[in-house]
Amino acid sequence: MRFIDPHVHMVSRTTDDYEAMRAAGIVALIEPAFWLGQPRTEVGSFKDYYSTLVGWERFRSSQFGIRHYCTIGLNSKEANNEPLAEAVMELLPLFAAKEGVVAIGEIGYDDQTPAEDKYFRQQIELAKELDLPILIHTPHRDKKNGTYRSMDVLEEHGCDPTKVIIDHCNEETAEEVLNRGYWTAFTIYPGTKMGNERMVELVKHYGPERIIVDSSADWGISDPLSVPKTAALMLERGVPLEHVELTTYGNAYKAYSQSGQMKEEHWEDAPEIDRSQLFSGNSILRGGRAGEGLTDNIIEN
Amino acid sequence: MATLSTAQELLLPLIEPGKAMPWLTTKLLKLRTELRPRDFYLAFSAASRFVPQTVVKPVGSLLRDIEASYPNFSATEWTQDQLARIILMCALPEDRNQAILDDLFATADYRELVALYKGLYWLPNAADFVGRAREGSRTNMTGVFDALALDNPFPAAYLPEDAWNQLVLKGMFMSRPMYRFYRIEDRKNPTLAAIFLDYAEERWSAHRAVSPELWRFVDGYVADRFMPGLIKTATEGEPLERQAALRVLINSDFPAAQAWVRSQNVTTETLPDWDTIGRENEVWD
Repeated sequence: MRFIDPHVHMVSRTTDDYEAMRAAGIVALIEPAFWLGQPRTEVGSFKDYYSTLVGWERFRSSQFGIRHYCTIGLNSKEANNEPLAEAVMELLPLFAAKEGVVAIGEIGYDDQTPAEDKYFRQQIELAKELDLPILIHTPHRDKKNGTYRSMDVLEEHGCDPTKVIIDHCNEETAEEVLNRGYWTAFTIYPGTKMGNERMVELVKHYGPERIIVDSSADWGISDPLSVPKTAALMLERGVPLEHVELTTYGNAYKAYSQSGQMKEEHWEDAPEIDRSQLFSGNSILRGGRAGEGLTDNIIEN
Repeated sequence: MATLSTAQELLLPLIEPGKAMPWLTTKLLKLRTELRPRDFYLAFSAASRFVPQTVVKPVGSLLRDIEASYPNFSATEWTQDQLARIILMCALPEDRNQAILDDLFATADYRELVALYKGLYWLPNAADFVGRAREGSRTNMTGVFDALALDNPFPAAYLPEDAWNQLVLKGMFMSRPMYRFYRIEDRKNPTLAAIFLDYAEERWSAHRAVSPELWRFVDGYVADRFMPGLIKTATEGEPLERQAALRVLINSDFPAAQAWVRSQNVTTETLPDWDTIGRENEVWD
């Protein structure tokens, strides 16, 4: 099977992850702009981060045969540093129109402060101006209110729910998000948020329509193979193949390809990993170890 | 109104006339009327959405005119949106283009970087962008490196020797096809020959292969210290390596090289030229 992981922070991941993801069938991924685990203090850090997302990480991913897309936005946590947020808002239009940018995101609320609200609304307007989908990060604390409030604000701004992905949903928020017509995404975090057992039950309960599975793997304990693992568990538990394909590939593709920046031909017609792009010097695939698989013995030489 | 750039005059006819060309000329007019960096950045980015990404192949007198101002143009593929971006960057006035383009280089995506580096040579003040090219030679993104290093007339025309040597060395480290460095023969130098010999010795110590193309940079600079490596390669190397080392030894007027060649029973007529060695090496890589 082939998969899309529509939410994964690859800048925090290793080449082992890339190899494992490719081996597990992931053909494309989306890397939303987010925070880095600690707050940035200079606008230049944002500039270089966005530039990494549209340049270096996109290249790094392609070396492992995975097409890389990203979303551009100011996350809610860092929106609380207002002088910095103002400067970042100036940067966003430069990056939002780059190739491979499939949405404005991840934006929304963290603490639901007035500053978060202000920059959330400004970025909704930017997405409308550029006709881009929106990826919403729903807060971990006070999740239900934060999720509903996000949708209220989106609707106040006249957003079309079919162009908005509400992420980090759970059993408590899913029904309302689905009823209001949004793409409803679930993050499979081992041990926290959503485990894949729970995900299987959700798909059985709601069916596959507008439901998206992602890993949100980042710098914390997380699993970049969450999407293929959840697919395997769904099949094992009797979820129809078609439903598995929709929730782990088709729905994400449909939602984000509305940007015009993501096309199946990018991975279907893509040549195998271009060997001429592999080199042995100061880069990624050092010493020409391309094509090696993973072994069970992790200390094997 | 300022005069049209050479790039605009020569390249605009290659842009799809239906929708893309009107889009581009509107943007150009706006830049000429009032230059606002933000408009330029947005137009430069958006070019890939409004101008087709199809490859163009100019022929006849247009190609001749283009190559008169951009040597070796037909050696690489050019897409319409790439040319549109180059026309846009060449529309910037000389007194401001460095500052505006520096910011763009710092925020550019992969394909934008490719267009920027391929376009440098078209700029009226291309010599002001040597620092930028030095920065480009440090990239690890293969396609971006190739845009600057391969078939591009900029490095040979403008880079001082130290920067040229770094670019060439980096190309070898990245296993790039070295024969595609434009005017490679003109820019060979003894410093580069010596560095490449050190590099070959490092590779042998690590039991790693040495590219046959490395010997091209030694060709013309043979001295005592090169002899052991050359003889080793000419006698023990893979077929293409042997041909490369033989070529260097036969071409050399260094007495020890001539003496060695005389002592061997080698035929010299069938040796491939350097470009052929480079191409064959690329095929077998």
